[in-house]
Amino acid sequence: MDLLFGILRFLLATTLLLLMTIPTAFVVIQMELKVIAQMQLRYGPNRVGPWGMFQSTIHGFKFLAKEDHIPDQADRATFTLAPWMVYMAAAMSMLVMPFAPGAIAADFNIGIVYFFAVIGLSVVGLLIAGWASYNKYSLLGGLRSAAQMVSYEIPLTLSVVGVVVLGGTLNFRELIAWQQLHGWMLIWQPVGLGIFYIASLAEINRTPFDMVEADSELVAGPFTEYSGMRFGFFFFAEYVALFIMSGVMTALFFGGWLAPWPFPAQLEGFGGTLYGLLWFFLKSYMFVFVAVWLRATLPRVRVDQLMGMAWKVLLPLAMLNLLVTAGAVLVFNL
Amino acid sequence: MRIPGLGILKGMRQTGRNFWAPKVTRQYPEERPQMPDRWRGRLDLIYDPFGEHKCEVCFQCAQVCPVEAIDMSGFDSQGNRIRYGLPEIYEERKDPNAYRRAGLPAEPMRNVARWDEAIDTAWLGGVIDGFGARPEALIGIFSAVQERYGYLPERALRLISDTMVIHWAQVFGAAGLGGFRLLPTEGHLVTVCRCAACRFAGGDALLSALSDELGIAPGETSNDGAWSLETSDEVAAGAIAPAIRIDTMIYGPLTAVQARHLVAERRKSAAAPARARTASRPS
Amino acid sequence: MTESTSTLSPQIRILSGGHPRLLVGLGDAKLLTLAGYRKAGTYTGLERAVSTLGAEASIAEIAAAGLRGRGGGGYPTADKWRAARGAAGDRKVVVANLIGADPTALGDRALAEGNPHLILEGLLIAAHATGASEAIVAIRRDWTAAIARMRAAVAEAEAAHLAGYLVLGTDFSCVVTVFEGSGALVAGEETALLAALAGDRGMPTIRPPYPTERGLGGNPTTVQNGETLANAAWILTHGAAEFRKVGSSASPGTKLVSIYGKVKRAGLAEVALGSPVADVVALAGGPGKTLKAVFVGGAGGGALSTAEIETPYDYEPLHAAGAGLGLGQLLITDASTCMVSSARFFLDYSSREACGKAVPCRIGTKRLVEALDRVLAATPRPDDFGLLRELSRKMADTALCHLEARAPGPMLTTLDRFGDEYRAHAERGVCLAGACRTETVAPLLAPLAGVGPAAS
Repeated sequence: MDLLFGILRFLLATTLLLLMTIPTAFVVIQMELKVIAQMQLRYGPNRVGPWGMFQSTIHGFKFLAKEDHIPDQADRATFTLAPWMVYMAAAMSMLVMPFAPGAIAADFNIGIVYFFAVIGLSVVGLLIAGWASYNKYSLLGGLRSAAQMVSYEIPLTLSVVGVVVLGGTLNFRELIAWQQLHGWMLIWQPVGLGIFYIASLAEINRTPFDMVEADSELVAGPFTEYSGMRFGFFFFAEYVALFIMSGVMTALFFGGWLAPWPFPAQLEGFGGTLYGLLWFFLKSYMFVFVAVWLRATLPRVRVDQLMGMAWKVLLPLAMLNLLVTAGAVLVFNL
Repeated sequence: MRIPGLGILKGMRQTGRNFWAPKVTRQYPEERPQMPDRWRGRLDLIYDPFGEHKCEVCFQCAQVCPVEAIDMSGFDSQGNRIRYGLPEIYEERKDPNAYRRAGLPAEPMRNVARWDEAIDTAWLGGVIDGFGARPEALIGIFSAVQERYGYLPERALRLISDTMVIHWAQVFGAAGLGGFRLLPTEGHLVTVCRCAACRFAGGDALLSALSDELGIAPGETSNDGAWSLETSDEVAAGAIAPAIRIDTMIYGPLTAVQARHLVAERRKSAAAPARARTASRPS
Repeated sequence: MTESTSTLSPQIRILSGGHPRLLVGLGDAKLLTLAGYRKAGTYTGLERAVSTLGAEASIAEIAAAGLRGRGGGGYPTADKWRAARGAAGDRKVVVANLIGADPTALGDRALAEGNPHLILEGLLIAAHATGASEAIVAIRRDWTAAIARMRAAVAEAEAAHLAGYLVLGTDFSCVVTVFEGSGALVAGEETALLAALAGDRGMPTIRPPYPTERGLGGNPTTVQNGETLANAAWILTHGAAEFRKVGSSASPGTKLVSIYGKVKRAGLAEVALGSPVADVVALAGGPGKTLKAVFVGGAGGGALSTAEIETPYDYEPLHAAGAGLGLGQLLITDASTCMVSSARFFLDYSSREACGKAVPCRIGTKRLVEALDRVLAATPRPDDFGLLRELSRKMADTALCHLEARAPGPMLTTLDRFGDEYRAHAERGVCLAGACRTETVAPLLAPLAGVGPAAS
């Protein structure tokens, strides 16, 4: 009975998550359109629906309506597989995201490890997208993007190790409980937060690190040959990943579903779940806003500057951070 | 000392400010730009003597457009309706000219420049000869025509163009600058001067008083077609500002009350004012 | 003679005071006939120029007198005539510019109606000096009395061998014709006037080449303002030394000024160049203590505040103050006049009168008016004041004709001197002069809605 209930719960959770990804992508894309526009002293889409709300939804339907074209000599199997892999990487990583107390799809003890492992699958997706297109420029684009993502994964995970060392657990829920007791992680790991944020932007190919998909560089990088819903998958996956990274940052550094000081941190029961959901989404979308703000402000970084920063700046900094954190834990018996 | 990241924060501050700043987008087509009077940027069909757009619905423009941006419909000489373009996406052009050419009933026009108005060609030829058909005299010839007809009929302009061998575009261009009318006015014309002297002597009050008295705005004609109101820079009021001109006589200086009284009196009297060219003082 | 027996139209009222020279006896019917004109002792100038002095010496006399163009530019007349005289061409022309482009300027009209022979004499002297065989008098078509009288004067002069063929028995021939010109503001600009005389649309052309080099029909053409020609006739009659007795050293002589606005008696007067503007204003019985600003030079001039009221009425000092001589217009305003709406009025006038040829003028004047409308409606854009200055600078730098370059003058000078009125309108929607009612301005702004604070 328990098993059946567990399986049903799991199926329900995964269905909900999958269903949630598309609207999330729509919301984030809409936000990006409007916010960047406002920062550029224009209005953004304001014709489709009140205040242009349905613009990104229509974008989604536009992708469905486009012609589905596969280059003649492309490897059909991998060509079809690539967008699915990237999208699934994003969707699967949502399994462990701590939305609210009692609203985590899969409460693993090694949640953090699982998360970063799955996120890394998107690298593979991009690589095979570039390769399967039968286009040397896509291949180059794919290789470049793989290089970028792989190099930034290291400082990303290293900064999280510092958090884990302090918190003493790899479980998202327990980390949040630790933060409830000791205060939010950002005051304990400010450097880690900085590294994490920068590395996460680079990981999901956001400006200023979006060399991969810069239109003026390699057309659309590894996505050049993709059209219609296949491209739609890549497109949505990027925005869902933005939301996910913001969500994970909230969970790791900003207390997840905990409310800030004047409000009660957590409530009980179903109301507590809703309360936690509210605060989680609020915080996540705030970081999404900051990422969009950065996109509106900053120009693109050159690819050598990009790689240089990962290896020469972020990695040493992350290691130093880890050293200091570990030392402090040892010395102060934290 | 250079603090890394400070530049980024400065940039973000600017974009953050922009987020709240008033936006500069013009919401076309709800808000259209105000173009200057003599703008050359908008393609517009020119007018025929009926005061309507000149369009034969010959489809040449639609057929030659490389991006197929033009849809139209109209009537051919047999009265059949013909179309160019997707019928679902255009609105039929209910152009009175198109109807008229097909012999279908069209709505009557307000301000008709009569197509077949007889121009006294002998007289006009005499005027042109009197000036020796010299191009310097073009303005003088226009003046004579406007004095006789109250405006410059297109047939007269064409005749001038043919007789004096001046290109039609040149004649038309010269007629457009200098206070000549290309369409006739209806009824008696009340012109309120808006030169600097009149305006600073209270000309605005005059205009609103007369607009009120006649019940029309400047540029309009009253419903019975007997009185029109306009403003002009060229009443040349000089020391008798503020002044108005009724048909050809200039009256000034007037207060708003006096102007109202004057126009009211004119409206009551049936006879048209004498066509004198000199200015006079109000009685 | 009283006003009722004056030959001048009622639009022209002559004020007493100043230094009448050209205005002497104006309005007397005797001046209209050749006999009466000669009895006043004139056409001696033409006789002197043609018979005694000859062309070169006539120009030298004008140069000695220091006569400058009275059409607003202030270019030394002798230089212009010398350039035309030296230009290559055998069918030279002189044109008398009596277009009176700004209808508030009464000087040319008064001379044309009251003393046509004076202008005619000056025109003939100019024709003789530059070697022209053809003279054209271009009169604004509204001045029907002036046109009729000038035609009669030409006929009389030709009959007396003062014009036409073999003038005064010498081999100087000059055929004079009178033509009507349009009443547009731009028609008074010399190249636009020449274009209109060629039967074309009266729009300016770029200079150089100057008309004295290549003008009407490709021939060297001297376009001279009517008042300048009248002064030239006066100089040749009375002598250069006499001419220099009145006026400043840089600009000797007198100027016909038209004073209007908040004065006791608006009208035409003649003042010595170099007199303080305050004295000129006093001729019309000014507003006295409540004087606020004087717009010198019409729509292409500028505003002088009471602090600058002692500026000499002369070309260079006024130019330095941001104003200009123009056609002698002076608009007097008092404390109840709003400077912002006055500036808007002048810019709107320039915008409506734009011929449409030059892009910065055609569109720039319109945009400046829109910016001022936004200021008046208290919904300015953040960069509106910068726009006002920068657009004016651009128009001045790239101007095709002087009308375009000087059109922002009233706005810039009022912005400099009465900036607080602009700020009060822009920031608080308050008219410091108490003249503007914002609800009358707001309907103008209806199509501009959406320029306000962000509404996403």
